[in-house]
Amino acid sequence: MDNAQEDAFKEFRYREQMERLSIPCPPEDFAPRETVAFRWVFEEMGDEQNFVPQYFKNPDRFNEKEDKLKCQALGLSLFDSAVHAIKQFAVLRKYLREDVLNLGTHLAKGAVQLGFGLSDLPNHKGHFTLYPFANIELKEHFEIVSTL
Amino acid sequence: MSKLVNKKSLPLIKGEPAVLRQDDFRKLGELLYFEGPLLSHFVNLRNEDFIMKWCGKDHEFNHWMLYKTNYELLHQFFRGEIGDLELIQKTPDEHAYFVDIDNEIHWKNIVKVEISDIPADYLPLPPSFYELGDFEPYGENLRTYLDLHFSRLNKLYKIPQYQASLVAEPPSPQYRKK
Repeated sequence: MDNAQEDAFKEFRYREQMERLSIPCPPEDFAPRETVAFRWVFEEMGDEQNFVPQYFKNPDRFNEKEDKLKCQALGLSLFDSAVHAIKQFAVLRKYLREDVLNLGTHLAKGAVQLGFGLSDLPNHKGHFTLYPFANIELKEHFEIVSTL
Repeated sequence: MSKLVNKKSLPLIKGEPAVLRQDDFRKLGELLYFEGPLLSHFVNLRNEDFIMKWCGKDHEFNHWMLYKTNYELLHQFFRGEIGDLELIQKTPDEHAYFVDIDNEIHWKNIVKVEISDIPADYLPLPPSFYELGDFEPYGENLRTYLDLHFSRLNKLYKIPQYQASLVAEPPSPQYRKK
């Protein structure tokens, strides 16, 4: 890890939890990226659940002890388009009860900037993960665009 | 960081206490995943297949349903011949386990429940049918694998008994050139 990366690492919002893991977290291919992003949120942008990673949603939803999963759960799930975000929500709602899922009711759109954190590239479902820096309040950069 | 608790509470499960050794189960991959597993494929020490489905949580535990399955049922599910409800109802064991998992990933309060006794709140109602691309890469690869697995079975031909000895004939002797 070079100095620049080390400085960035110090500023991760969940640095303490990341450092406890036995693997590099975030993974090494994560980088600062500028992109439009969509996230499932609740009706009020101020809802405290909106930008909280799964790791902190007590109790943690894991079924196997693995630091890779814990690292993933410390990141925030985002999508590269509204279409991808809505489609993925529909898939989960299809197989799991919506009232139990509790993953959001609305779609928010924002512009992720380089200084927001480190992220990977979207996968084939348009999903990517952002590990936010400590000084970023994502809710200030997102606005609700539709219901889910 | 404060911990958040789901607002939804689930009905209690009535069943027979059961013992399952957590270490006997190994996860092969995720079928549905969002910021953590939601539907996972496990095998036990006897290489029997199980599906573990997330059912919700309370302030202390996440609740999971664990049920046995097999390649035939999974193949039928992936082909759309049965839905997720039938995948549960046709479990070879005729029962499912409900497992509470805490923050330390310890399996607790394991209960064995006959399929007919599972409360509706824990069942996929109405049932859903798989569509291509629904699952995570592991699940899609499993579908492809099962397609291949069963297509090969279809191409096996029964050898007539009188030919079996020919098939089993040992290799001819090696002759050395003089």
